[in-house]
Amino acid sequence: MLRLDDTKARVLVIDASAHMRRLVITLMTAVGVRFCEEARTTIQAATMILKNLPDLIVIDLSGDATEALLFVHRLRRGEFGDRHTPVLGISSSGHHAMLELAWESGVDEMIGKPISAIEVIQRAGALLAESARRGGAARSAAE
Amino acid sequence: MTDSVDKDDSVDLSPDALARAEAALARLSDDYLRWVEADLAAAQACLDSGDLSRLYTIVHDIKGQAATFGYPLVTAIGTRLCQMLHAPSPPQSGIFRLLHSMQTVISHRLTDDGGAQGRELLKRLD
Repeated sequence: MLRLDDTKARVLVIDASAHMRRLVITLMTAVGVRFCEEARTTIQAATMILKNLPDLIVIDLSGDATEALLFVHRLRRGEFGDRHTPVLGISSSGHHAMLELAWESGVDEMIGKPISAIEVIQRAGALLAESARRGGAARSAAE
Repeated sequence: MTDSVDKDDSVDLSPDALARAEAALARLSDDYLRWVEADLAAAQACLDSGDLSRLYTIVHDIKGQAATFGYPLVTAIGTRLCQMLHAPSPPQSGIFRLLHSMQTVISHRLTDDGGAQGRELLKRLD
């Protein structure tokens, strides 16, 4: 069992809205995630991933969902970073078609807006646990 | 998709960790009013200049955040405004009315359902 309080995991938050980035990072930091990075666009994110492999990607799917889903698709194809990196999507749409598209692109978990602090922490924590099981935490510790 | 994570691997979310997260969210709520007031002013400027594309982006962001910080009325009205902005020729008066209603909710601090004032506001929009 992973204790978020102790985690050395790296989280990358991708959202065009500075407010939402700050919100998610604040929640992550509050529960002990010390390495949070943020990107406004998926292009920025791809560059950042090449420098520091994240253990979890939190991505907004509310704005240009096509661009975000293409980013996840390319990640899963191994075009950059670790293709197994867990992805948590945040969307204002709970429509079945949106969920289906997200799942097909490789998004692991989805959170609908309005987001709650507990839900973000629980979903992110579960995915970080999964990442740690695969060795992500060991890589972070080595760094 | 939520079933993809084995429950045995659930994260140990101590009450302390959750309390810290909730407290952090509460602190952000204070900042939120400054954010949203600035965003609403930017939205008004977009309406004044006729930049409906930028207006849509701003309103979309506002509606996505408002309910998280206790203003579901803003989210509800923002959703209507986004739908209206999707129309081929959205009526200027309708956009103004909805944007003004969002500003009213924030300026009067109508959290949650806004009580009687909130219900009256929504009723006038129907």
